[in-house]
Amino acid sequence: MERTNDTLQINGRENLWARAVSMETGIQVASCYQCLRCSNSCPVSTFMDIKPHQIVRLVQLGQKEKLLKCSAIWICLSCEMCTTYCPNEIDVAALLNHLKNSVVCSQITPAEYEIAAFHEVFMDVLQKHGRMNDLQLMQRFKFKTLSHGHLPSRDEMSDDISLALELLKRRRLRLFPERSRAANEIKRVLRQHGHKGVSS
Amino acid sequence: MKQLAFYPGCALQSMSWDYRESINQVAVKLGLDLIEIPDWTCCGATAAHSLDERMSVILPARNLASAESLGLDLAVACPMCFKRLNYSRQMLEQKRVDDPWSLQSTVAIRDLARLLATEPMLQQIRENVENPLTHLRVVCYYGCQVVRPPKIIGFKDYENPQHLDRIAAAVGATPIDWSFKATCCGASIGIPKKELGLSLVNKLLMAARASGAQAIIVCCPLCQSNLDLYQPEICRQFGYGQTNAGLPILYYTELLGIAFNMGSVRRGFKSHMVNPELLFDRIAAR
Repeated sequence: MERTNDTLQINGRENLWARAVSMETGIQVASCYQCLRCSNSCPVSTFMDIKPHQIVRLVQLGQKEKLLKCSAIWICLSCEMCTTYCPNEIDVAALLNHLKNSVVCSQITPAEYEIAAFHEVFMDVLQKHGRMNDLQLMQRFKFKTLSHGHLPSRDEMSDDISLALELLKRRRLRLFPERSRAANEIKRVLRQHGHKGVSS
Repeated sequence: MKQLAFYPGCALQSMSWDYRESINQVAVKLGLDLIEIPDWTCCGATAAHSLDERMSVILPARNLASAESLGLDLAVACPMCFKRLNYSRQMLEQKRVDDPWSLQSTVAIRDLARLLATEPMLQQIRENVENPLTHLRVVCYYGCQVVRPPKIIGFKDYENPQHLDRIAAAVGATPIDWSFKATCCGASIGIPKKELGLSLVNKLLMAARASGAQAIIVCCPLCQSNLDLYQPEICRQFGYGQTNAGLPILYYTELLGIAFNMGSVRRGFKSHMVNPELLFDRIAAR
């Protein structure tokens, strides 16, 4: 019989994955008794397809594929409410982050492509100048999402342009990026540690 | 003059230049000599750890190494940078990632707002007040990064932080107690997912209005930008009446500057979407 994604399998390799996550992160996923404090404290759980407490449960059950394809891990703001309020000291935010990192290492396209793309262009600008430049960040982000097939609506375009003008008027955008003299050093160290981008 | 190494972070160089200017001016008044660490680089913010956690440990570390070479405690103005620096140091101490700069962990990492809210500094603040803001009612908004998680931050007051409230009270203003001190504003999520960002900011603005505050006092450049820049759009989308003139979002250092009667701090108000000038004129007229 063909196995569907919704069948929970608690045996074989999938169970090993749960243990591997615990070993790699030092997070005791098995301690969770589903009190829901993480999901209740999360400011964006209403926007998530799988809620934080369900994510912890699915890790226990070894449902790797389902988790790496969910959008919730990208919606997470890393505000650390879940981590702070967990009575069993499970670092839920770090667990979600570990799942995000796993997506980046895999061939899977992130379920929230735009959020992942934003992180990626941020790292591009950082590597180039050693510091952030908001104008370049926004330009690169818009180009990246455009080339991925996101055509901005007329309203969206006019909103973006008017915000950019307001920011320029208030000197909140720097036209020329500021460069740190340590930019090359940072780039080299990041390369040494094998930094790579998101698959699209 | 007390000397401290200073890590401004990227936001203070452009998007939040008013925070930087107000810090410079207030620091002089309070006898702090902030020495910018040489060649500092970006901490990686949310992007670095989202893509690869090791990057988020390595990136801030170079700045810690620079501060150690100066031999001075490191004052940090941006909460995001503050948390990332602390996180980086703890992970390196636990040997979770190889340390390219062989840190000694000799210097303390200090959050500038908490530093100014220590009793000796508060005493100095009180002595420097020329223009007590007696008729001003504010709520203080801390955001996530300076309070959570307590294990990284090193303070246990995540439920009800007080340091900005103490600073506001020291200049004569009335800090109103409210429940949203450390509720997330969404950080940079508003760029890739606007509706999400707007809904979070709207919730905060509504709660602040309901408390009767005339302004929100913040310590985070990202919180300031979110709360300030989205206001016109939120007014349009969520339909507040024309009577609502907007809620000024001020850094604690700007509040200090006004209380110290430093006209130069007002220059920074040009960067605000909701101009705080009107509010202070109204209070002065009372």
